[in-house]
Formats: sequence, C-alpha cells, structure tokens
Amino acid sequence: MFKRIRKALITAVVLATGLGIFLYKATPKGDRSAYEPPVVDWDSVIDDPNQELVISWLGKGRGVEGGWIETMLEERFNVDYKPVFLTFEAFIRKKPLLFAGGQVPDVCFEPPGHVKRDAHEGLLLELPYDLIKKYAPTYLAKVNDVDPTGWIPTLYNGKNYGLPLNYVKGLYPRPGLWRMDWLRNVGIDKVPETLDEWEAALRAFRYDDPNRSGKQDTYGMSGDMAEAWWRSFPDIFLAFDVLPYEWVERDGKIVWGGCLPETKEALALLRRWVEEDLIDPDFAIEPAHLVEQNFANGKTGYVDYEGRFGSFQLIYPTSYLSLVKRLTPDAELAVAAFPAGPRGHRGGRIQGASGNALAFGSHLADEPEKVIRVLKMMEAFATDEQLAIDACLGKQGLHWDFVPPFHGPGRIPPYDDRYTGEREALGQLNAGSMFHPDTPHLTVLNKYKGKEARAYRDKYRRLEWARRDALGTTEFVPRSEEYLGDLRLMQQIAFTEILTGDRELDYFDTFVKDWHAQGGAILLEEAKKMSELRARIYKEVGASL
Amino acid sequence: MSKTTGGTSFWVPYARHRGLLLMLVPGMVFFFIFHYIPMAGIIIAFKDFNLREGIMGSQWNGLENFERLFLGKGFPDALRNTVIISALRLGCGFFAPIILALLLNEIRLSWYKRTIQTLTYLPFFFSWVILGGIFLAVFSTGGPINSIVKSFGGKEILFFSSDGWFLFMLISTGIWQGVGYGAIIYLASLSGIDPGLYEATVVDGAGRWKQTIHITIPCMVPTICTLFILSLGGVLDAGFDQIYNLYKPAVYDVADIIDTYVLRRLTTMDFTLGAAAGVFKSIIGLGAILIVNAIVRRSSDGELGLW
Repeated sequence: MFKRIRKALITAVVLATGLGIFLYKATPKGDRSAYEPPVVDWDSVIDDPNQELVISWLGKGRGVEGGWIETMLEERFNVDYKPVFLTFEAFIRKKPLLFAGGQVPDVCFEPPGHVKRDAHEGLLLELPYDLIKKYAPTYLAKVNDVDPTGWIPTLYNGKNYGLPLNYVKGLYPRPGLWRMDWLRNVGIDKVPETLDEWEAALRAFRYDDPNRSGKQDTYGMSGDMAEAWWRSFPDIFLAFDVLPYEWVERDGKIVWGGCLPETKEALALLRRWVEEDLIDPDFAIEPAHLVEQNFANGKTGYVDYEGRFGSFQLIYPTSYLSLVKRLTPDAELAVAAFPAGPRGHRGGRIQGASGNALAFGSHLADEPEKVIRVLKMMEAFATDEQLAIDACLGKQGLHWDFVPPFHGPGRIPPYDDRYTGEREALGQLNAGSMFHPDTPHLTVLNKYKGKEARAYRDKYRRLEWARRDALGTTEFVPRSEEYLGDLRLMQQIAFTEILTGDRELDYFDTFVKDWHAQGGAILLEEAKKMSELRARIYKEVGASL
Repeated sequence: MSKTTGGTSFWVPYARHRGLLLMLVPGMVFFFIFHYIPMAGIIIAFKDFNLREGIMGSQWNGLENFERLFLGKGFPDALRNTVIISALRLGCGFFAPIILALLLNEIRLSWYKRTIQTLTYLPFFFSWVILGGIFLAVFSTGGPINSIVKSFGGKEILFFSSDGWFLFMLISTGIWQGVGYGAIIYLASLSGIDPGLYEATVVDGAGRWKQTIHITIPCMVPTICTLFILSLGGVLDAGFDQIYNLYKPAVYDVADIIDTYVLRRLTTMDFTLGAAAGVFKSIIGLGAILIVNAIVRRSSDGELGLW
C-alpha cells in the first residue's frame, strides 16, 4: 500500500513539474508596462443616431430589465441596454469576479479608486478631455461647478479614463441627534454647543438617570471604531479642527490629520470620556448599525450623523422619532449643533460630491460610437431638466408625484412599496438611478425639494460647516491603494487601544513614527505634489480651484 | 502484456463491482471539476496576473508575489496569530468531539441519545454570519451574559474587545459549533468495535470506566490518529468564517490571520497575493501531514498513519 502511494506521489510530482515547465514555456515573458492601451482616432468616429446600439451597462442598483426608465431612454437614444443590476454590496464583491471572468461591460459604474485599478489592468478605454468637451460640454461644466475633484480619480498614467459623477448629497454635513427629553430630565434646556456642555450632558446621561428608570442603564454616546473610520467620533475631532483619517491643510501644506497634535488632544478627551464611562464601552466592537440601534433603543442619548430631516418625521415608521417614541411615547429629539472646541473650531465631515465615475471597457476601441452615444446621453441629462428628472424618478403621476405633507417628490402607489419601485429601477433625485447614476445640478434639485426639507437643510446642514479631505478624497494620492488601507487600519487599532486604555496616551507618538515608517511618508510626499497635479487637471478641464 | 491472473481477466473484479464503481463517478467528477481543474489556477501565484491577458497570457514574475506576501506589513503578525489560533483549536478543540462521542456512547436511552446528538449537531448548520451577530449581541455589555455578571456585582466583561477574552470566545464558540459534527465519525468508529471485547472484559470484572480505558479508547486510536494527521493539513486554516464575523480592529493584534490579511487585499483585485497565500498554506499543510504521518508511523511500527 505504502509503495503504491509513494509511486502515485512521485508520478504526481513529475506530472506537476512537467505541466509547470510547459506552462512556463507557453507563456510570454517580458515587462508588463510594455502594454499599450488601444488608441482611438476620435475625429474619424461617426455616431449615426439612426443606428441602434446594444450597450451592456453594469450599474449599482436593484431592478429588472425592461423598466419604464430603461425603455424611455432606449427609445430616446436608440439604444438597447443589456443591464446588469447589482446592489452596492454585491457590486463590490461581484465586479472583480465578473471582470476576472472576462465580462467587462461597455459601460461601468466605478466607485472611488476603481478607475485607476481597472485602467491599470488594461480594462478601460481612455476618455480624452477633448472628447468630453466636444460631446458633453454642459455636463463637463456641471461637474466643474459642483465638485471638480471628481476629475482626479479618473486620471491614470496622465490620461483620463472616466466621466466623473456627482453625488450632491455628499456636499452637506450631517449633524447628530440628541434625546431632548433626556436633556430636560437632567436639567439641561438647550442643545449643547461647546465641548464642555457636551461633557456635562454626557455625564448626566450616564449618572443622572435621564430615562428615569431608577437604574444606571444609559450612556452618553457611542461611536463606530469597529468598522467605519469615518464614524469614529468625527464631530469631536472636528472640534479640534482635524479629520483624523484624511489629509488636512496646515499653513498651506498638506499633512495627515491623524498625526497632528490636535488629534492627540481629541484622543485625550475621548479617552477620559471612555474612562469615566460616558461612552458605551462596546464602541470598540459595535458597527454603525448597532450604534444607531443603541440610540433608537434608548441606550445612548446622542448619535452622530443622523440629524436628517427624515429622522423627525412620524409618517415614516422607521424614522428615529418614530423609533424612540415606540419605547417612550413622550420622547423628543433635537438636532445637534456641531460642538465648538477649545479654539472655537466646529464642523461636520463630508465626503464631497465626487468620487464615482462612468468608465468604458477597452473593447469599445472597436465600437467607439457607443462612447459618443453615452456622452450625448449624459449631455442631454445636463441640458434637459425633464429628462434628468424622468431618468431618476420615473414618470410623474405614474411613479412619483409631489406628495404631502412636505410636497417633495415621493413615490406613489404601487411604487411606494420599496420592492415594486426597485423592480422598475426607480432612483432618487439626490442619488440618481441605475441609468442616470449622476445627480442633477443643485439648482434643479432645489426646485424639487420640499420647502420644509430645504429650510431644514439650510438651517442645520450649512455648507459653511462642511469639512472634507484637503485633496477632495484621500484615495486620490497615487500609491494610496498600496498603503492607505493598512495605515488606516493601523490607526484604527492604535486609536482604539488608546481609548480603551490598553495603551497610554503617549503611544500616539509611537503611532505617528510608525505611520511615517510604514508607508505614510511616501504618501505624504505624493500628497504634497497632488496640489500641482490638481491644478494641471483643472486647467485642462476648465475648472477653477 | 496480458492482464490475466490465473486465467481471470484484470477487469473482471471491476466489472463485478461496476454498480459500486458507478456510484463513485459523480463524486470523482465533482472533485475533478471543482478541486483538480482549479488547481491549475495556482500558477497565478507565480505571475504578474493581468485580467485583460488572462492566466495564460500574463507574464511570469518568479517568486515576487511570495516576496510581497512575506514582506507585507502585518504578515508576520497574521502568521503568528494563525499558528496560535490553530494550535489552540487543535489543543482545546480536537478532543472535544472524542469526549462527546464517548459520553454519547454511554447513553443507553436511545431517544435521549438521539436528542442530545441532534442538539449538539444543530449549530453546525448555522452560518457564522448569523452566529456572529447573535454572539456579539448576547455577549455585549448590554447583553444577557453581562447583565448576569453585573447582577452578581461583577464588572462588565468586554468579551469581544479584549484580547484574552476574544481568544477564549473564539475557541469556545468554535468548539460549541463543531463538536456535534466532529463526533459523528468517532461514533461510527465506536459502532465498529467488536462487542465480544466488552463481553470479555465484563467476564474479567471490568466496569464501564475500565472498559472505556482499555477497550473503547484503544479501538478509537487509529481513527483519532487519522483525523489528527488530516487536521494538521489545515494547520494554517484558523477558521476564516468565524473570525471574519467576530473580529474588530480592537483585537486585530491577536485575531488578524492570514486569510483576513489576504482578504483585505483581494478586494483590490490583488488575486496573485491570494494565490500565493493559498500555495504557502498548502505547502505548510502538506509538510505538516508528511512529517506527523512519518512520526506516527515510526512510533507505531507502521501500524498507524495515513500510509
């Protein structure tokens, strides 16, 4: 028996070696950078509008082929879509597999960072600025007006590979929510505005029985140090004028927010709050949805990011006010003010309105007219307000209408049912849809936004409080893909350990050294040069700094 | 050369057992398609894999991917954590199904035995996505376990955010989930023990305990050895599903294993690094099997071991 297995093993090794040698010989050798992306002579390309084009379209959104929006656009632009619907989560997981299996679509929605990666793999077609200027000049002007930083992530090796998409929602800062009834129960009559007032409220929430249960069963606040770095107490860090996980500007220079002395100050304060039990000790393990649940279930009295207009509407059964009233009928909520720090700084983090893009498969070098047709489509969305609205929301009177009580656009029966609406691939005005993955210009959006919602936004989510990455988006730095993930993780771990008391506060200084040594210094050097690159790109697309 | 032995064709036994052989076909086809053909894909571990050019078209880059893997920041920690967690699983978890099988074997009420077996077997069918959510909720500071701890005057325990407790939870919940499933093969081996052996010990005056020590366990040794050697093949598989659903940055320094380390890079379409890690794990696993098998064979004079 042993001999037979030994013989089989030897045979397997010999065969495997033989196969390896064969494959080695059969495969080309050389330098990968020798690859030259296909070049299209765009001047000679003619897009005949009478010719129907079949366009495969990989987007982000639920739906079924043949919905109203799809059919309307197919008729208008003489195309036949072959859509692939994926939810965002599925999109992130499945896109690499689809691409690895050779299923690169004609048009693909690209989240931040993907254009560079796919262009590096040789999967995308170059999209020269001049071509966009020629076929989609109004669209280009809109991008420049709303958030021109979108042009930076579409650049790879000095060439543009994507059409930036706007996400207007990302421009407005999101304040938190306080339990106003709790504040009153502990003798505080107004929403805290400074860090000192915050601390007093958080302490009272922990020790003064704000829910009058007779037990010590509440905490001031929680935060997501577990999964989402952008929800790790952003309002507190911004009271010290830092975005700890992004690039910030100091004296005209780009620096990493996480390495600044102000960050250490903010950590010292948060560490004390954790020590004094003002922060839910599960902050180190609870993802954002549990942080939100804790607030809705009356465990914490403050939640960040959730101070939206919709949070206060009792007509929505899952709004925060509806949820807290389910447990405490006389519960009240109040929008938080971004807390003012020791030097008067305050603000709310925004992601900005750029990052996503539309890109075209490199195989379209053989069918370049498809690129032109899509550019014409995007131009039409920017110039024809009705078309843009229809492509986002569907048909007024059939899918949506201005609905009471706020008279903003809302889906009407039967499409008000989430799944029925999704089957038609209907989207939202401020987030776009599968076939219109962009958002209309703010001037258009404002026309369609309900009066109260607009007033709420103008009062509590003012643009002047918005704070964002100094370069637009952190991932724009060329080698960020190589280092940023590990560095952010290292920072999350170090900060969590400092807050939980596993490490002394001075471990922050060790972290700063480690950050620089483990790739941060390389990114920092690149980031400094990004200002020049950004200026060059803006000049080419006609955007102003 | 004629394939006959004493006038009987070489193929006759095969023809006689063709029914059984046919039943083997679906399994073999399955393994061939889903386990052997994909093995050719490991060559991307030695290539600068490019999606546009495909596996065959991409260029070779020698051991560059392995170099990237080994020199990557966090890899030494991930390797150390993987080995520690695997060793703990093996040390604490390997014997749990054996003990459960022995205990079940002693139960004489068949309905009770079946009920216990089903209850212990059940958790195996829950995915760690669900179990992870349940455990995080049950063992959170506001969960029932901490409520009990606090009601006795204790301080709340951070089960999933302190290093020691995390490892304890990882190993214990892992045992809880897999113990019933793991016991099945031992129960099968127990059912194969010749009842005559027990009768002989009864004649000699042995009680249940002595029977277990002198008959049951020695008869299980070949199965235990086989499973132990096979489990060493997965020495660098520290239980990705479970860890991925339970770990948070607060415990990364003890919980980040090779699989989670590689996964973070796979989301950026770095397939070659994943392939390199897979090859590395397989080589270590194969090496562990060969070495331990040789040791077992030598120490048992060739009686035990896989081959």
